[in-house]
Amino acid sequence: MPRSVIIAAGVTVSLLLSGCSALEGGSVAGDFPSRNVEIMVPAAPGGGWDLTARQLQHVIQEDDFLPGRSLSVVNVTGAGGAVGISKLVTKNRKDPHTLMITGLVMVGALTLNQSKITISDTTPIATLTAEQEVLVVKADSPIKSLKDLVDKYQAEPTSVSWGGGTIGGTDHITAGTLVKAAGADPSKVKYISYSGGGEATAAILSGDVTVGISGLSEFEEQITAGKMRVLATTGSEPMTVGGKQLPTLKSEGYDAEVLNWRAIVAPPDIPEADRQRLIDFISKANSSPEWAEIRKKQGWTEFFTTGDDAKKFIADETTRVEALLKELGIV
Amino acid sequence: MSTTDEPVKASEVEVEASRLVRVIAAVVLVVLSGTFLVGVFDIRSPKGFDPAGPRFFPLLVTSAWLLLSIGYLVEGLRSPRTADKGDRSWFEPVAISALLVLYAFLVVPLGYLIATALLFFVAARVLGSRQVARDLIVAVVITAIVYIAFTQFLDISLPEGVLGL
Amino acid sequence: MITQAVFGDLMHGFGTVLDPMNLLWAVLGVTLGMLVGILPGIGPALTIALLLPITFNFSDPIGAFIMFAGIYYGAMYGGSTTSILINTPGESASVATAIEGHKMALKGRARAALATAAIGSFVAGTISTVLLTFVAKPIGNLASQFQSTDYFAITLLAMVAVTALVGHSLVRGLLSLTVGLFIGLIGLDSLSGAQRYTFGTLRLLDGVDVVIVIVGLFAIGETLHVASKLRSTPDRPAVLEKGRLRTGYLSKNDWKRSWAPWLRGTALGFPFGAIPSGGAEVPTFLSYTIERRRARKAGRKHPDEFGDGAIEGVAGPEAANNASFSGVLVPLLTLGLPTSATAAVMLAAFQIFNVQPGPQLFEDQGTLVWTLIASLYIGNLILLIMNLPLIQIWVQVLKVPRPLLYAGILVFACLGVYSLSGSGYEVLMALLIGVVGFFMRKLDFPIAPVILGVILGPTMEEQFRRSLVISNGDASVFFTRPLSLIIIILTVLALFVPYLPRIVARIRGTQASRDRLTFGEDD
Repeated sequence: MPRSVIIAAGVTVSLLLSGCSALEGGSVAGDFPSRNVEIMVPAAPGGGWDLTARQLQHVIQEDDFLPGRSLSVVNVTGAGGAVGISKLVTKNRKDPHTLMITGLVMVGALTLNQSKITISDTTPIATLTAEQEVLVVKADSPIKSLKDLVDKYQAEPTSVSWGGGTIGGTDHITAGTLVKAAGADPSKVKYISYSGGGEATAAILSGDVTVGISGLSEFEEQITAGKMRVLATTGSEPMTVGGKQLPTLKSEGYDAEVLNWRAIVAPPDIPEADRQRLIDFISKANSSPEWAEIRKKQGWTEFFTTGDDAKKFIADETTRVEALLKELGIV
Repeated sequence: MSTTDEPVKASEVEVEASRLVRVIAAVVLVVLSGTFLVGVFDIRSPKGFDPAGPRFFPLLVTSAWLLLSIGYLVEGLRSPRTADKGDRSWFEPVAISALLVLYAFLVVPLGYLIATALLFFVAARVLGSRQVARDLIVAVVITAIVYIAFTQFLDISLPEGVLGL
Repeated sequence: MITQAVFGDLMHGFGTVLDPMNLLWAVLGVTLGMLVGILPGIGPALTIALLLPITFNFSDPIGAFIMFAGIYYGAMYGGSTTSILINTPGESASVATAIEGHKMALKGRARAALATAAIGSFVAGTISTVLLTFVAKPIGNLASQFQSTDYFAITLLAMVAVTALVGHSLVRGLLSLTVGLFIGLIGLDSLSGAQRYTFGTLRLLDGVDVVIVIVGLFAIGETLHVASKLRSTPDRPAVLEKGRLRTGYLSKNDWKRSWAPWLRGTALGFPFGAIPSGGAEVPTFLSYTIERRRARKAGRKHPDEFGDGAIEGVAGPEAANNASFSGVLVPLLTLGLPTSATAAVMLAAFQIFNVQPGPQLFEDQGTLVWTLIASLYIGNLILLIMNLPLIQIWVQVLKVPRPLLYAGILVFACLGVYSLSGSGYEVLMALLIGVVGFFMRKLDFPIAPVILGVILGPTMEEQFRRSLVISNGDASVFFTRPLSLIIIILTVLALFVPYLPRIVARIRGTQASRDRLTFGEDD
């Protein structure tokens, strides 16, 4: 009898007692939710995954999408999510009451860690949201457009240093995707990783790196203040900051798109009936006005696919990212 | 130094351990640093744009460590033979370490309250307390306060274990 | 540069803070901060992160920020309390305090140590908040000029300057440092993604958290050490000097010896807090070094007590620690740059309330900023008012029977470590490090350099390699950028200047004058 045990920090007071039932273990096929549900965040409190989980929890409780059951968020930190996913795949196998938040960043982290487990080992329930990436330069940089940047790179790859977050993460993938779309050699991308947006922002403003890449929210303030210039955002929908419409990779003539997507997955081998119930339940939460409100407030784009579509999307992304990281020369 | 220790003047601190212990420690350090120095070459070093690469600092650090360990070994071998101060005991530190290992494995299955109260009680006994009733009461009270404060006010969840609270 | 406008804004800020409800938040924050600060391993960053969900319910963010400021000050002071009383600092910023502070407690001067820490924190906090009030913008702009070569130069300078921590044996001190540097190497290399010394386990990929190192080396190492000599040392409570003097818990001499270290600590803490990747640890160690060196130089006036409970060694680092918080707020508020873990969490909090720190903040959210700054003044004051009377209660810890005290330390050490990760694995890791700490005590290795290595090593390597990557391998970048060059020259001076008087004296054949050299190597 598998015994899932609550570990990790940060559950709201109202939910404290919910964990007890996690000890009952063992699910009866196809009767979700037969006990309280847990969303595992495979990272520390405070990041994007954590925020997604907690906002989702908020919506689900507010609208009582799990009548009679409660939903708690637990954080299982370590190795870019590798610790969390390995727990989900081994300890929580067959148990539909533990869900996990995942996303593009985990694909890179798992590849980099040479993990044997991939997100395809889980049961994808739905993709939830996507955030566009943005490429910026310092306001007084001679690089005026994305084309200037690509030309500079093609002329002399080492003359461009790309600053962003974790190695193999979304920002790194963005750099690789752009270079590939421009028909240049990704293995020459001089990528410098910084921990957290603050450090990267400092490196861009001090002129340490040629170009900075991150989620739009990280740089928004500097862009509005005129300290950074946007070369492009990476989605298909143009974004607007401070009343100005920003160029996209596509509008600048590069056929590429990068979305920092987030998804929710269940452990492997759950009963098919439960999988369907989970999909229904998350779909209900997704179409609630509260969730729409949160997406708007956080600057997340709706990116909702479920079941087999989500599964296929995640599998495709995994293949693409693994190949790209090889081309970037980091694995 | 413990709070109940006789006041020590740092300038006249003597090394407690005997020369033998110091030499053994030095040998351990030499072996460890040597192993890690060799281990530098197991670090995957992608060829690319990083001139120093992920091996450079480990190489510096482990080499310095090895050299210093050899220096420490020589220092130890040259120093006059001293005996261990006979009043030191190995039982208590080993017992405390074993207790912590047990705790690490039992805290989740037993639950925070039981495991921690036991840790406190047994540790106090190992450390010389003989007042069973007092220790038990303090153990339970401290553990309960911590548990309530953490789970109720700080929202840190601690394992519930068999009590299922 | 006191402009009328700033003063008016600030007064308005005070008006908001002095609202009874907000004062209550401040008191609550300080209290909560002190409680968690006493626990090893649970620092202000984690506390604020965990309280964030509660503050979602606040209708306006001001109360939340007032509470956060209180938590930070409270937590920092709480960490110092355990450093002084039982030699178990809970976070890296209190390690320097433990060195002399605990020696003072052993000599019965716990009250004086706690008092100089509390008053020093207040003085430093207030002065640095004044600096924040008036020079935030220019300093913020200066800080944003720093590039990786400059950061590397600074860490190098810090490393060289704090060699006083090495103690009386160079070999053992440097061995401690290299062990710390090695621990810092463990994990995924951030720049290449290569695994280093992870021994094939996922658990080590993120490296070893400095908190686990601190809790292991201090709390667990100390307990094992005490356990090993139970039989030879009787369990008697530490003596305490007689209580309140006419001049408070500090004697006239204590006051005389404390005020200058407070000011010097402030002068170190504020700028180090303001530069990205500065933080609170480096200035505390630097302050300790400087005070120790000055005490040596002034050795004639009063005996050099360093290593035996010198009050300067508590006053300086405590002031530096507190001053660095206002420093950290400079880039956070003016540029939106979080330079420490606490700042990163506060940034997240700002964003939850739809407040975006950065160049526009002072214009867009004037009321909030000035209220926050005003709340720093108030938070400092509340900390002082609460803590001076509490000293009498804190020192009672020394009267707790030894078995209970150390059993309690074990419980709290495990709690801190466990709550970091939520797994028993980290408890084992801390124990392993604790066993190392035990042998280090037996063999008389200094502990603080290990912490220094763990903190400075990774930054130093990262910035060094980033510089070289950006310059395409051209090492001359460290000498061609004026700011880096200046810092590197300072580093070289720090290595050699202390010997200059001796060298000059030898040339002249006279006794060296003991002048005021602050940095450098000794012994």
